[in-house]
This record gives sequence, structure tokens and C-alpha cells, in this order.
Amino acid sequence: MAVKHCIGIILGLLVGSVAWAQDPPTPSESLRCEPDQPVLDRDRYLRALSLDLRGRLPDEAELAALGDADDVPPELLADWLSGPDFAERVVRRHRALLWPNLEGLRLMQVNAGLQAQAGIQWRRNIARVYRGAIVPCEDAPARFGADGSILTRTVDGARIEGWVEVVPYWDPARPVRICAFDAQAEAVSATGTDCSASAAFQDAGCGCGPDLRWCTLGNTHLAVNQSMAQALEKLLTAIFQENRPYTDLFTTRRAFLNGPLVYFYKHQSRMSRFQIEPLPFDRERLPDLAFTDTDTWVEVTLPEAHAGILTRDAWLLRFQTNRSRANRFWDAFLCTPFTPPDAGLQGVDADVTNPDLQQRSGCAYCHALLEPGAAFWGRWSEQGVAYLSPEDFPPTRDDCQACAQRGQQCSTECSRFYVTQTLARQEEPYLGMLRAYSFRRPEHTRNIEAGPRLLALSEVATNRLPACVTQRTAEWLLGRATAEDDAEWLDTLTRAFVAGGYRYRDLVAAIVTSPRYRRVR
Amino acid sequence: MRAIILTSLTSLAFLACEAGPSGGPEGRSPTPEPAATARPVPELPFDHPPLTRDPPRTRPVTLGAPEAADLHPTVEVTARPRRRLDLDQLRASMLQVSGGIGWTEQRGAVEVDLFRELSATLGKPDYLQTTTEDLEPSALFLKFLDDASRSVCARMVVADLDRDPADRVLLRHVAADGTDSEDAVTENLRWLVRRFHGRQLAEDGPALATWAWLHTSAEFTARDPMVGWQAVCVGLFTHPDFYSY
Repeated sequence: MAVKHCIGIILGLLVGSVAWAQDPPTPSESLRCEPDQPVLDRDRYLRALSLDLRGRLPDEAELAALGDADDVPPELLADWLSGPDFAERVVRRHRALLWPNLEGLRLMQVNAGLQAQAGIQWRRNIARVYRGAIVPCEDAPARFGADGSILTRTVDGARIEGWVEVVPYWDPARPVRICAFDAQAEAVSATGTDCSASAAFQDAGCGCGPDLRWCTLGNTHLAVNQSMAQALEKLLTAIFQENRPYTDLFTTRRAFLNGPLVYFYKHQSRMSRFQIEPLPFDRERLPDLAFTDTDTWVEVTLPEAHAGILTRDAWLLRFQTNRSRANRFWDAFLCTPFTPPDAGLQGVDADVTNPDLQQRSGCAYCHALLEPGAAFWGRWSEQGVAYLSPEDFPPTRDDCQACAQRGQQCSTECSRFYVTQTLARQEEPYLGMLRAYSFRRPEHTRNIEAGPRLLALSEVATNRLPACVTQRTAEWLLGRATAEDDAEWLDTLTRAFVAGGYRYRDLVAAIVTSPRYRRVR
Repeated sequence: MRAIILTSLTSLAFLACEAGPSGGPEGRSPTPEPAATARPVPELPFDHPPLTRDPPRTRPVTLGAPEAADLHPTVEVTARPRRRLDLDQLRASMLQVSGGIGWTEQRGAVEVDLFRELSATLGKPDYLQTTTEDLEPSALFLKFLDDASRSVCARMVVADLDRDPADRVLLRHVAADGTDSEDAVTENLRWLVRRFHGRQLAEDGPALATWAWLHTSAEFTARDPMVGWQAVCVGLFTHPDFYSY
């Protein structure tokens, strides 16, 4: 009975399934769209190209202009690739490689920061130097003696002065009231202190300088940070829009400067928290721009040692150590990030006292390559943008060696840029040498002297850089990581990229016209 | 049929294999080099590995029982995944199809661009805290896209009502009073899909019927022709054909 019942159910199901299979489609099924074909048709291809190359959709006129054409005309593709929108998209893409955001940096000393109290600006941090107490001036016009000295009155043991009105560099249209001590404009104090340098914070005879150039207010100084990033992007835009070789990114001496940058390098470089001096260019040749000329950009040619983006302030301050500069370059442009093996580093604790990371167990896995790589920036200061020229900063300086070996007081230059102290016996041979020479092998010292340009050009010669640029570009446009079966295709693209003179536009064109780009899953 | 063809081919291959070893290496006459022929070389798939000119190797085989097999095996073709628009593309595209209306919010005297304000939340890196762009069409992204679409579409309807028909974006081929013929609705829907998605839909295709159904349903439910077009607008913006490619 049970068996019969089961057979009945099975038969019923079979009949039912046959009947279901023969039923006409339901109304909702008839509304179902056909799945997309894996290969983009003309219109979808046009849309993808427009979005990737221009960042927007094709407009009505462009869609209509296709008419009965079978495919996107090559002339249209060439037109889009030569337009400013394409350059902007490529710059956007390069942000992912260069990370040009400096907004987290405070370029100026904290003591340079003005703050307002009852509409009067003063510097809280150094108020004690001026007044003997952390108090602002009084809300009254300042009085001056016959010799020009600031007159004060004593209130609760503090020397209190009045305010003066000054036209600040950040907004010449709106004069500000500022305490008279803070507003002092002398270049050198009565005691001989250079008021444009940070030693001025200890001298009551120094103030914010003419037009308050050695001070900052609120976020006004962020214009400098933003201009550094914009200057980098301006350079990229120029290179890509002019279809210059990709290698220009690492070799060009072109640069763009605007008002905030010029003002910073002209007047504020010695008040910075970062190592800006010695300036990597001639201060006297900076264009004549005001701080408020934010949108006025002037193209300049930098000195010989510069190497495109690799020595721009946005790069040097975004990656503040030479190791981090090398690390970013290796990752972004050589596609070989410094990552430890999956099994972890072996023997890390074996010789922790060895100060040479190229040899220390575990560390050597990356640092054997990273240290010589970092040496390419050996003449560019860490935590700054200063350039140490071979003329002023030879590999070994007698005065630095002398003070280091005799235990004498070393000059600021020696203690800042040369090895003058050691923590381990292995470091002693490098006393008196430029820091970048510490533990450098003879074959790597040329890295220091030739600079980042040699790094880029040697990697171009080995083909690693062009291959990586090709890979990164393909990953961008395909929206996926490249795989093993892409290797031959990438190799072909790389060869064409090199043979064509490193024209990025041609590389992009080759990728977006390949079947790989047009096939979407 | 396929099985028969396969069996025949397999048999031929077997016979060919048999013919070689039967005489033994010693007894074989040297194999002559094949003469060059004028036969055209068939075009290989684009990702096919290169053909080598190594001499063919003989390999002993055994014949198993014949079985059905596909003579056209599936070839794994390298393709790129469908991608979501990044925020800059999305913002520009929305401005473009809406005729200049962006996803903004008035706060006092300031008009805030919400795509910019929410850029970090929506995956745009600042290259300080985050350095990789998140292009996943996540639930959060779709929620904000929905918000943006509703805001922009509502303003598109209002803007269109003040425009000449030839300048309208959403109501290009229909009147604003809802007295449109079915042909006018169809024409307007085709216009909108072309504008938003770049696709040219057939007048009687299933894809167009879906949009017509959405328009009719929304209009019927709200008893307001403008709501019908607003719903189509939101649907077009939140459709993968708009936010991905």
C-alpha cells in the first residue's frame, strides 16, 4: 500500500513537472530582460570608454554622432585621449600611487600660531617671554617711547602692552589687531637674534615680522600644504596633457609654484617644523607672488639634482623618511612591495644588536634591498625637503669628524646631517660621514650621489618600471588584479609602451581597445 | 549525433595511432617533412597560447569505451568584472543626466554637495587615513544612491515643469498633465533609458515593457502622472546600468 502510494506521488510529480515545463511563461517572466552579452556592444563600449577616459557619460550629441557606425570610431577615441578630461582622470589614478595629501601636517612651528582673544591676536606659547606670564595684552592701542620701544604697565606682576593694527599676509584686505610684542617686525633683535628663525621664540625682541610673515592664524596656512599637493598634480597634468614620455615623471625639472608656496619658501622656511633649509632651489629666483595668489601658477625650472615627482615637496613630506620614499616607489612603480614571507621572518631575534639592517637577521629580508634603495634620497633631508649639495655637504666633513671623534660641541649642520654619535661599535667607522653613507657598501655610494633619477632610469633600463606601469594601468582599466594568463598580453603591451617612447596615452589606448577590456562578466 | 561523430573521430585517431607503432621504429621509413600548404591559418582565440613548432611526440594510448562529449568545450575567456562608478564619475554622471541638478542640501546660506561631504563614507580615499578606493556596490552605497536619486529626481520634475518641452530632461516627449498617448510614453521612456543608460531599447522589447510597467504602476498608485515619471527616474538612477559599467 505504502509502495503504491509512493509510486503515485512520484508519477504525480513527474506529470506535474512535465505540465509545468509545457506551461506558457508567466507574465513576470515575459518582462524579464535578456542577460547582457559578455562582449560590450558599441553603445556600452562607448559608455565604458567615456567613463574611464573622461569620468563622465557620453552626451546626447556623441551618442547621436555614432549614427549607424558599427563601432566606436578610432578618431573619437583619439580625441578623448588627447583631451583635458583624460589628463584629469590619469592624475586621479596617480593619486592612488602617490597619496598626495599633506593636510595632516603643521608646517610651521607651534609657537608661530596666533590666537584671538576679544578680537586681539597674540601668541599664547611665548607670552611668558614677552610679559612674564601667560596673558595677552590689554585691549587698548599700544604706546611707544621716543626710541620706538613698546611701553608697558605692570598688572599682577606681568608687563602688559597694548595692540597695534597690522595688515597680515594671509588677508591684506582685513587688518588685524595684534599685541604689540607679537607684532614686532625687526629682522634681528637688539640682542642679535635672527628673528626669522625658531630661536626667535626665546627672544622678547622678536615678533611676527613684517606683515606677520613668521606667524600663522588658524587654518590660513593650510593653503601651503594644499598648494604642494596641487603643484604635484599640476606637473602630472602637464606631462599627461602634453603626452610627454612617462619617464618625465622621474626626470623632469619642471615645477609649478603659486603664491602660498613662494611665500612659504621665501619667508617661512626657517620657521618650519620641517627641514626646509638648505632650500632645494635658489630663493632669489622665486617668482614674485603674494601669499594670496593662490590661483596664479608659474612654471619654473628647478636645479639639476631634481628628479620629477620624486623630489617634489609633496612627495618628500608625504613620505618623510628615505626608507618610506623607497618603499612607496618600489610598491607603486616597480610592483614589488616590501612584504614579509607568508611563513614570517626567520631568526629575527638572532642578532638584534647589529645596527646594520642589511645584515641583521630577519630585517635583511627587506632591508638588504631597502637600504640601498633609500640611499637614492641620501642627499634629500628626512622630515623635510632640503637638498644637501655635494659642494656644501661632502661625504665626509673634517669639522664634523673632528667634533665627533673628540667629543666637542658639533655645529647644527654636523649634528643634523652627519654621523656624530654612535650607539654601537660597528657605527664608529662612519663618524664624520654624511648620514646616508652609514653602512653603505662601496657599490651603493653612487646611489647617494646620483639621486632618485638614477633609480628611475636604471629601473627603466631593466624594464621593471615600464612593466609595472603597464600592469598598474591594466589593473586600473580592467578593474581587477592581473593574473597569470595576462602575462603574455602585458608583456606585449610593455614592449609596445617602451618602443613607442613611454607614451601613456598609447598604453591606455592599447588596453581599452583590447578584447580583455571589452569583455565584461 | 554528437556521440556518433565523437566515436568516429576517436576511432580515426585510434587507427592513426595504431598505424605508427605497427611497423616498429626500425622498420619505419623516415617521416617526410610536411610540405608547406597554402591553407590559411585559422585565427586563434585572443588568449590562446602560442602554437609551437616542436615535433609531435608519439604517446601510447588505450581505447576506452566511447562516451558523449562536447566537441566545443567551454573556453575560459579572461574578462573584466563589471565595475561600480567611482564617486567622481557618479557625481558627474548624475549632474549630466539631470541637466545640472546635483545631490545637494541647503544649510543656511551654504549649498552642501553631499557626494563630497560623504565621500569618505562612500569609499573615496583621502590618501591619509585610507589609500584604497572602495568600489563595492555595498548596501550603504545603494542606500545613499537611493537618497541621492530621490532628491535629484524630485527636483528634476519641478525643474522640468518650468521649462519648454524641448529643454526638458525628464518629460521631454510627454505633457505634464498626464494626458499622454501610449506612444508618447514609450518615446519618453526610450529617451530616458538612452539618456541615463546609453542603451537604445526596442519599442516592443521586454526591457522597455519593464519600464512602462513601473511608470504605469507608480502613476496608478499615486494617481499623479508626475510620480510615475519620478519613479522611473529613481529606477533609472538606482539601476546597475547607471551606476556600473
